[in-house]
This record gives sequence, structure tokens and C-alpha cells, in this order.
Amino acid sequence: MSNLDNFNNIYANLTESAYNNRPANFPFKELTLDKREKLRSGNSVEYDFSKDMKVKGKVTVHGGKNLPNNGKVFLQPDPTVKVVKDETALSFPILASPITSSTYHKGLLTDEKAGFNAYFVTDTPKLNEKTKNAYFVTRGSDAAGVNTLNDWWSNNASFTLKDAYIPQTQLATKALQTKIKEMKQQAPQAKISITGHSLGTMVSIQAIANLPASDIEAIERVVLFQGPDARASIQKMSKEAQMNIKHLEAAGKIDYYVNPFDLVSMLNRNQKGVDEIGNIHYLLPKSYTTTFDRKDKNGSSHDFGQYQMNADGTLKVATLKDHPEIFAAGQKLSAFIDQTLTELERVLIPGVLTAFGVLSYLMTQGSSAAGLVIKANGKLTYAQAKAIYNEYVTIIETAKIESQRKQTINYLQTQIQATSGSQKIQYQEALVREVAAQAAAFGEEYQAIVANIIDEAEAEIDQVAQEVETAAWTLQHYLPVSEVEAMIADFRKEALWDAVEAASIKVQTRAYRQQLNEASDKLNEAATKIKDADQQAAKLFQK
Amino acid sequence: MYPDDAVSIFDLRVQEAQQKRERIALQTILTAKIPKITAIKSTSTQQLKDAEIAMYDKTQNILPQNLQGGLQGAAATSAQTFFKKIARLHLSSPVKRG
Repeated sequence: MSNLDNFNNIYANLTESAYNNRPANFPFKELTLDKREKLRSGNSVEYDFSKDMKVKGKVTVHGGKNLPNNGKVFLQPDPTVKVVKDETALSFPILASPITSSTYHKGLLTDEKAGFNAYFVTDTPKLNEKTKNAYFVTRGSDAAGVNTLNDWWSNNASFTLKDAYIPQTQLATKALQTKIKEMKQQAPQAKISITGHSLGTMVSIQAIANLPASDIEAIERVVLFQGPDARASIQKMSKEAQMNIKHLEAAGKIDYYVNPFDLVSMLNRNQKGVDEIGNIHYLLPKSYTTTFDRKDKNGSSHDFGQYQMNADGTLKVATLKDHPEIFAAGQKLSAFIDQTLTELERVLIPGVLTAFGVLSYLMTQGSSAAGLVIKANGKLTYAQAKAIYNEYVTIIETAKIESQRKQTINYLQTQIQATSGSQKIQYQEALVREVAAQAAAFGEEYQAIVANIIDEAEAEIDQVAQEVETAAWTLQHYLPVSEVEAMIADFRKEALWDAVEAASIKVQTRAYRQQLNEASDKLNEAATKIKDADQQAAKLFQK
Repeated sequence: MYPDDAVSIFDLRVQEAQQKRERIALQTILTAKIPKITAIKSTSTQQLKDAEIAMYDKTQNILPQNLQGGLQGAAATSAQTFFKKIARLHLSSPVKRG
């Protein structure tokens, strides 16, 4: 587990705090006794994210700057929470023996049995006419461990494989709707922002989709961290649900922050023909880790410790100019996930072990894939299991090499200045080879990036054209067909999309890549000749 | 006026009213799509412009600068020229309207 190193971003602060064992904690059992008592008695608990967080006198998290309400927020009580008896054994096919639990907490914002944990936070101690901002925060899965199996089994797996309406969503919709109603009555000036991480993003976006349309105007922003794209699941919902999301998107209110090395972030992304929900930002991670890597000091690529902040509190994100390798890695990882899930679905016995379960297992147990082979009923060989893990690691390693190449080049240029003789020649050769590799990588990365931009724009245009077509013919009863045809003519794909221009762009980027590949080949040849010329010249004097 | 004519005029009026309603409804749907199309064009135009600038920067500045010190004399000049001769791409959004 790795945490934010500063509290500069209010959404990241709230989302991280929804988990257990974090620097600032919202979960009831993590609170001190006096804070629990406050909540029990119907009062809120104050959090000040502008303050440094210290452990044993040492600052572990720096206080945030430029935060709304100077960083002060108030965790609101949930008076509906009750302890509920549950004699039912929870049984999971992955376990040899069932888990039993006698009691659990259940209320509007919490249902431990369902793995649903949400928090309502405001910028005033109580909801009133002075409240400006309210936040609805949904926790994701703590980990793919035994205690959170319900999250992974019922929610993540069904969402991943079937784009399903996940079980927690119904609870979240009801909770969100209730809180918006309270807000409208008690805090008419307030707007609500919705945030979540991982599974919390899936729950949040589906819950928003299922709100009554009249509640959508109360939403200020939707900021979601490291969750998969949910478009396919929203498309399976009602027209009203789809419209809710579209309204928020049109207003630019939905933002997703994804880590390009994280399996969960990149799930359902960069798929041809799918218009991803919201504005997608590729985080610039501190280090290069897999989703399940816990050894790195900045933590897994799924964790908050990887976030970097700008001085103004915004998150550092990759740009096309400076970090093409980050975008390329994200696209490769999306394709890898799609391909692997499809392949695993084909070989596994449905209902025995899900493909996402296998994928998760693979990534956690990558070095000992033998257990997986047994779980997959021998339908996946050890070599296949290992190959899947290695491919994932290679995507991240490639991005790491490209990111670090700049430093390598700087180092070699400094060494060339500082050395002489054969040592200098060695550095020159190495530098030319580095630039050769960099040129080839740039060509490959930008070709893939531009192709993705075109594919995404085309998918969105396809969707608009399809929606117009469907709506027009559903509506048409009395209008002459010819008039409807004429009215929608400007909204057909051929009127909206210049296929010749799209093809020209792909031709241009292919040519760009070819030219850089040619440059790369020539540089490698030149590098060999630098060394050869020196050795040949040396031989002249040795005879 | 004969009764039959009255019926057919009534039917015609009803039909015209229904057509008008459908026309307005369809026009509303179409009008509502325009901001979306504009947004797709705007986003893709900006993304392609960013990519175009970044790609040109790599061949005009980054790669030639990174090569400095690696090659010398005519080879250095020749390699720099090779990169700088790679033409700037013209990446316009294929979205026609908006």
C-alpha cells in the first residue's frame, strides 16, 4: 500500500480516505472513539487536508494548498446504519471452505455484505444554506483478498466480462438520490461532486446513470480514478440512463484519471468503435509497476502513491509531446487485456473460474503459474500462463526504457565531452545506437497514438449517426420517408466523416514511421562504422 | 360542403398537425446533436494538432539535439539533414461538420 505524498487534490484526498489504513480515514472502524461517538450522536467529523500528516513526528503527507474551503471537509453521519444478523454462509467457488459471518453493518451508505461503502462529505459541519460543496465518495475493492471477495467476485468479474449492471450500483443510486434530495431541501446553494477509485468508479458512473434526470443538474463534477471504461454497460441501460451520462459529458463534467500500467484502469479502453466516457487523462506515474506490484516504494500502478501533483493541485498527466511512450503503453495494455480475456474465456469452463479471476491470479502469482494451470483444469499450460505475465511486464518495461532514454542520452553526451580516445569512441557509438532506438520508438509510438485518435473520433461519429438514424425512424409515423431522409442526410456518417482525410492521416503517419525506421537503420550502421574505423586505423600502426 | 369532404379535410389537418409535430421533434433531435459533433471535431482537431507538433519537434529538434556528439564532421551534418528533411505532417480532423 502506498499513499499520496501530499493532499493538493481534493478528489484524490477524498477517494484515498474512503479506504482502510490510509493517512486520513473515513471508515467507521478506523476512527478514534470520540469520532465514532460524534457520528453515532448525529454529528459530523472534521478533516483538514491543509495540514501535514505526521507519524512519529515525521511528515508523511504534506498538507494541501489551494484546496476548496481551505481543505476543511466534514464527514457526515449515516443514522441509518444498523448491525444486521446474517447466519447465511457466504460461499465462493474459489474457496475450499465457506466464509461465515454472524453480523454486518447495513445502512443507506454502507452494506458490508454487498461490499458497498460510500461516504457523504460536505464543506460545512451540517448541510445548510451555507454549504457550497458536497461530495459523494465510493470506496473501491481493498484488494483481491478473502475479506473482499464479494467485491471482486460479484462486481468486478461481472462488470469485466459481461458489462453488467453491478450489484452495488442499486445501493449507490438509492444513496446518491437520497443525498441529493436532502441537499436540495437543506442546502439549495450546494452542488455535489462524485468521486471514486477502481470498483468505486464503476459503481459511481452506473449510479449516476440511474438517477432521475432532474438530479443531474445538481452534479458539479464527476472525478474518477483508475477505473475501466463503462460505456458498454451504460449502453445496456435505459435511454434515460444514457442521456444522463451524455448530458454530463457534453458539459465536460466527467473526468477519468487512469494509470497506463494498471490493468483495471486500462480495461475496456482504446477499443475500436467504443466512445469512452468522459475526458480521459493518462496519469504520469512516479515509477513503472504492475497492478499487483507491492515492492516498489511508490506502490502498485493501481495505488495512490504513484500520483504526482502540480503546484496548483492538479494531477500530473502525460502529454503527447513529452510522453508518447505513456500513451503507447496504455494502448498496448488495453489491447493485451482484450486479447487475453478473449483467449481465457475460450479455454476456461464458464462458471468454474472467470477469465478476470485468472488474469488477476496470473498477475499476483506470475512467478509461480503452476497453481493457475491446475485451477484452469489443465486448459492453460504453464508456458501460456507465464507468457501472459511476461507480456504484461514487457509493456511496462518498454515504457520504462523509453522514459529513461533521455537521461541515458544526457549521460552519454556528458561522457563524450569528458573523455577521449577509445573510451570516447565507445560512448559515441552507444549514443548513436540510443538515438537510433529512440527514432524507431518515436515512429512506432506516434503512429499508434494518431491511429487511436482517429479511431476514437470515428467511433464517436458512428455513434452520433446511429443515434440520429434510430431516433428518426422511431419517431416517423406521418412524415414522408423522403422528407425524413432529407432531414437526416447531413447527419449520416458520410456527411460527417471524411474517410479520405482519415486514410490520408494514416498514410502520413505510416510514412513518418518508415522514415524514422530508415534513420534508425542508418544510425545503427554509422555506429558500427565509428567503431570499425577506429579499429582499422589502429591496425595500420600495429603492422 | 359535403360531409365526406369535411372528414377528409379533418383527416388532412390531423395529418398535417402530426407531421408538423414530428418535424419539430426530429429537428430538435438533430439540433441537439450539433454540439456533440462540434465537440468531437474540436477534440480531435486539438489532439491531431498536438500530435503533429510533437512529431515535428522530434525530427527538427529532439533527435538532432540528442545526436550531438555522437557523430562528427560530414556524418553529423548528413544525419542532421536527414532528420530535418522529414516533412511536417498535416493532420486535419476527418470530422466534416462542427
